[in-house]
Amino acid sequence: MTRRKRNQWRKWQASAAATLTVAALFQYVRTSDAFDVAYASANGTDTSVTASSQVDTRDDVMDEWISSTTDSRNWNTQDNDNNDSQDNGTSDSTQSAGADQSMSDKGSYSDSQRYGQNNQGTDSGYSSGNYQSRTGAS
Amino acid sequence: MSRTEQVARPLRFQFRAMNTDVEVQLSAGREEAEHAATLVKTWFETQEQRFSRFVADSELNRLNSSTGWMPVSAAMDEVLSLAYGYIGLTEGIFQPGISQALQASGYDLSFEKVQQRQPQRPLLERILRTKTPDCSGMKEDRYDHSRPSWIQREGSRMVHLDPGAELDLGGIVKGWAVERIADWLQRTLHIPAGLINAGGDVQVWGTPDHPQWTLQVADPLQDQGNVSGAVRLQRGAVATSGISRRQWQNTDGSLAHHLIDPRTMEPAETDVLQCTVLGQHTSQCEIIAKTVCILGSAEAVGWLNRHYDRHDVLWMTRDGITYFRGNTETLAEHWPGFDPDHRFSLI
Repeated sequence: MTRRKRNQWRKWQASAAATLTVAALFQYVRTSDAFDVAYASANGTDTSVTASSQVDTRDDVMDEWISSTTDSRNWNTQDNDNNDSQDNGTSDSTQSAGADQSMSDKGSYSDSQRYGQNNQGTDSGYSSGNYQSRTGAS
Repeated sequence: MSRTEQVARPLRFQFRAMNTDVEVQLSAGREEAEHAATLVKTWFETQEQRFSRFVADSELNRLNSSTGWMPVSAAMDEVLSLAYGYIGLTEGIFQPGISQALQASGYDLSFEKVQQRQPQRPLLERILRTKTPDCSGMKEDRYDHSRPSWIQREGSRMVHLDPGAELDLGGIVKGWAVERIADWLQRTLHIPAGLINAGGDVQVWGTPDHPQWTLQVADPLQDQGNVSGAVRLQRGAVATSGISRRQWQNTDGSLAHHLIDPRTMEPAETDVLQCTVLGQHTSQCEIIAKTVCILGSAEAVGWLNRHYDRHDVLWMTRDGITYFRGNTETLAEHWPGFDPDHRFSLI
């Protein structure tokens, strides 16, 4: 009788150990970078980005800026279907310089996003499939 | 618009900051791009408030008027560290301690106001009039331009300016701000392709699925709308500096400009009208472009060779001559439209 009880106890112990081992193994896999990459891949997100985010180091400059900014503003404060693409901050015009805006426009997103209205007739930002801009002494 | 089209076509934003036009192009969905562009605008506004010498209570002005050790922000600490390195790289030609000389030359207001102002007395006369006892030390120290005029205490973000020293970080902050926010947009917001262009200081990035970026280079000898060629790249940085844009007139008809030669503490006497540099980091390209402009063609080639510089550097002179120093094998690919008169290979 005692021998039987001892055997049962050993079986229970072996079972518990096996369960814990499997649980630990699962936890190890679930917290690994490889799992994140596979999970992101299965969900259609950029796996390289997910993996690299795991090794991001602390950035005091950007942390300082983020903590100081209270970003609740939006470029498109009056977004609706009636606005044309320029009003939404998009445009086929290419000239990067030349917007006639003064510093007093700072913060006025609905004004500053309409750069195209001051740039009618200029060349485009992505004609011929290329992304274009301009450099020069400023 | 399908998601594929949204990603393929960049959205473009533009605003004014740091006394220049800032352009942002982002390949992302509209909401994401708008959110990112808002953050970029906030970033530039924040750094303008911090580093401008035309904002009375900017951190830079507080530092310039400080005595003894002053605690600074992480951003100021980083820019000063970068500047420290660039002083060495350029053998002192890049020197933030030229603030007083810049003011004496007539650049004592934001450039928009300088342009509106009546012509000033000739430069030498103004320098003599504006000299203060502290300022006169500047002339005596003219041969010490290669030395930074501040000390940073490592690990504590404490800065000590030399007595009488005043810094102007305008030559580096724009490029630094561009490359910093571009890097952050990639790392943190995961924008797959984009462009940040602050007055010609440009950082671009894109995945192999995206086409190359084409940056038209303004012709310094023509009207602002004309271009002299282009730079083509998939990721990296381009910066342009020159004396043709930020000029103003003295009463004697002579022209002054904003590129101060620290060896003379006066606007550089140079044959270079404009220099464009292609590389990986905007601030580095910006510093090299300014240094070439200040040194002039002959000295610039020597300086680039001494430092085994690996950037593509193209500059145009008052005589209309174009120089190129860099990878001549990829010249046609990266610099379409340019046919330099003088070409120097990398050594």
